[in-house]
Amino acid sequence: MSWLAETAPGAVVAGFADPVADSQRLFRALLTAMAHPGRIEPLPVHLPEPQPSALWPTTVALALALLDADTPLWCDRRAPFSDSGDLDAFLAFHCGCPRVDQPEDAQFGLILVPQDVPPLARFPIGTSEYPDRSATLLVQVSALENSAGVWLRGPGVETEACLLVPGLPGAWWTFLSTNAAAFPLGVDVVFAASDRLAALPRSVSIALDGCG
Amino acid sequence: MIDGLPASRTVGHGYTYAYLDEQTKRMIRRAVLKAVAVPGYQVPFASREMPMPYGWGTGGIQLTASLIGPSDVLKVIDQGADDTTNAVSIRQFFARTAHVQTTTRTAESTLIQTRHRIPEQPLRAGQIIVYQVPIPEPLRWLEPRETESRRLHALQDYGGMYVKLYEDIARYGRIATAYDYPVLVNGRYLMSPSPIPKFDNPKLDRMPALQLFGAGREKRIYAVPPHTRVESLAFDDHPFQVQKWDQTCVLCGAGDSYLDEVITDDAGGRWFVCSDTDHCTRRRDGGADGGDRRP
Amino acid sequence: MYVAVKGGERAIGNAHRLYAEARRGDPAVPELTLEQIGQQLSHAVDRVMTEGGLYDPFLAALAIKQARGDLVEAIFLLRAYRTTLPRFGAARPLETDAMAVSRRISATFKDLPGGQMLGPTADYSHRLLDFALAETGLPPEPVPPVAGVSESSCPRVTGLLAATGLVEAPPPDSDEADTTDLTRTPLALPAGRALRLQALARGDEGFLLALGYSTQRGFGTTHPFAAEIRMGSVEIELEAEELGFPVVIGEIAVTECQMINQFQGTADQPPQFTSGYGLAFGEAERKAMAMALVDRALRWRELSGGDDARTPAAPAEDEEFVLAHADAVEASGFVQHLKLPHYVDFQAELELLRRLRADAGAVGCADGRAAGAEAPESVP
Repeated sequence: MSWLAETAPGAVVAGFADPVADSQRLFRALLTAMAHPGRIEPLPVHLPEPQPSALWPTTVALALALLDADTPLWCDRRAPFSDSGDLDAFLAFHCGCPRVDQPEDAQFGLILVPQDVPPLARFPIGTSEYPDRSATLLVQVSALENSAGVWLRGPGVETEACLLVPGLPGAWWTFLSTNAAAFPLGVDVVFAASDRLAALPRSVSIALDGCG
Repeated sequence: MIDGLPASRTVGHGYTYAYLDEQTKRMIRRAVLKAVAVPGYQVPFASREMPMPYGWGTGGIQLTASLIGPSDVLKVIDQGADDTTNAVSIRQFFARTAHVQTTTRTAESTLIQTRHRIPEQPLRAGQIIVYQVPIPEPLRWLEPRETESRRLHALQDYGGMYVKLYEDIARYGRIATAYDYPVLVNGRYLMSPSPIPKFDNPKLDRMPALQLFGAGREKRIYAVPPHTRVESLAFDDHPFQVQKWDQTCVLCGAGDSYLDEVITDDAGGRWFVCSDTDHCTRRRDGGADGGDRRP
Repeated sequence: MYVAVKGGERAIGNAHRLYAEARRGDPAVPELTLEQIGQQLSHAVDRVMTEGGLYDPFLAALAIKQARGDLVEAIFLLRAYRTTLPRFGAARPLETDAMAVSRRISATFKDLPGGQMLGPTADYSHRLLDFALAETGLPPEPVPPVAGVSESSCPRVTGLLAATGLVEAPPPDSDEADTTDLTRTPLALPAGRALRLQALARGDEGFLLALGYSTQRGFGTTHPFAAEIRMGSVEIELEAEELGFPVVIGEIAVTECQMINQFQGTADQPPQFTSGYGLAFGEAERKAMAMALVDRALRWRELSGGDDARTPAAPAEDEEFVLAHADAVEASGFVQHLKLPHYVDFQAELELLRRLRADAGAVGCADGRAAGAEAPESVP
């Protein structure tokens, strides 16, 4: 742990209060979200302080529940960004996930500033024989609402659903609708607002003409 | 040379909650999420050696162990019944390792692990049903090589399966598959529904509950999200049909449930009883009577 | 109320008690100790450790005792324990060149550096039941040490030949590249050789023996020589990240076998001997030799210039067939799962069969009565 002190003086952040139970609760919320594209699930756990300053509690919980040494991670914020010291320490200490420089090498993408659209097309989308070998993107967003957004249809949606992600640039939606068209290939996306989450698996079809 | 056991290995060794270590649960959970995102596609996963034999539900047990939490209410059935030996064994395992409440009531459960049946009572939104799967590959009997069947799935080349079913019709006048009847999920992936009788196939279609399938020995996980289209393969001139009995359950009189046949003597005598013990119990609790003709 | 297999919990509990009683046998006979199993049934312990994938003679002996000597069941018990153990890292490749050998034979050279050493073997014993063993008695006379044998350097035969180019060079040491753990990563086909060897090491001895044997009888095109079989103890070295150099964390007993086969060569490779490799914990020659034969057989594609269009000509050359069926724990579980109730599926088949017989107008088919009419599915 000596290097931790070097890279992030005084910045050892907390993990789950109860790692086993909290991971399970978070996973079930995420599974519900993934199984019902567009449905907004409240963050089911309370996280102790301090948390990395760059992350919402939901993002922290997702990282803790999903990432480990087996999941190469690409993040849009790397040192030497001024706010990334405790982020890097958090990911290294609590998740232990290898960090990759190229999106092509990532199993997970952690996107903290979606306004700066990352090179989305470069994440792995799987192969026709192994479509599961694709990235999952964890995208931190300012809010999530089931109103005046895009129409969603497909597996997990009984009739149709409606999702609004305020402030998410149009380039994301263009990408996401192309992504759905490539099914069974594609990335899967999880949106994390501060106290809630929603998911858009590649299986969902997205109509951009607005709802609500 | 034999050394003594360190204290941590002796009796009372504490396994983690729901038996699996956290890293394993994360690995399985990630596979489940991919399975849900690609309905009907079999996601390879690093299946662990469980303290039960392969073929006895290790895939389902690993799924359940990765899903279960203290607020769940677990139901375990085998052949539709809560009290068959392997169902009892698996239920005890989770009662012991996950400190979870168990039930035989379909409606009260949040999580159902099953082998070979889907409960008669329709499942509702929010429930999860976990199927134990022996052979996840629906094309296995046409093409035993995984390398080849994987390619057929990639190309969505399911002609061979239709040919097989059509050969049945040509030969027998009907499709001679009575269980593990292949289905097409959301119009894309051919899927084994596990060895449920085809009687249960219509329940797969647009089920409000989440359906997860685990094959431990074959190391595959797959899923059908809620409200997803699941079609049993058929032909225009030979629509899909399910089993139906002239008899009714001798205990509750049900005429619309899947029946087990029980041989009662050596003179050809037999009864039929509901395979779903919860369904039968509920009906009898509600006053239904099968006119039990047993001695 | 009628239920076929009612009273599950009590029945299971009683079954376990009956099993425990049968395990103990006649209480007038002294109970086996794990020390006795470890010392006197060491081949069984070695097999359980090898196929269990865990080097722990104490736990292997415990598993054998618990399984009443059923080695496949003991392997299963050890595996189920192993799966819960944390991983600390991957050791460096074993330096079997530096093995403290207790036995070393080569079938290819009459004499060679380090010499031939017969060691503890029953190879040349006459298989006559030794009735003296039926009586407990004095331990056998100790063998006086032979001067200078085990102390001399004992390079591996394939290494000696590789220098001349007559045998393919061993693959370079790879600390990182091939440490994928078969038990933590799903197997994808085609598997690399390193992954195949992991599967074979855990593979059922009987299955590998039969496959290896089949290659000798012509189901496969290998003509093997046992270049070397050696047994002894080797050190396990782990590179500790903080230290930057490897440290010895223990010593294990292994049996290593290298088979060499004549090879005609390809456009890229000159004619030379190629090898198959086998390694097992403890003293396990049969396993190591069978594994080496199967390893070599599975290399046919690589050694035929990597022609993907060709199909394997023999069962032992068929990677998917061998890897999918080599594991005794998987095989035992699935074969024995047929003991579980299947009456729902059986009922489905019964109903279908009756219908097909009725369709066919089977004579004397009183059974047809039980079959109902098949109704079209009602779609809500």
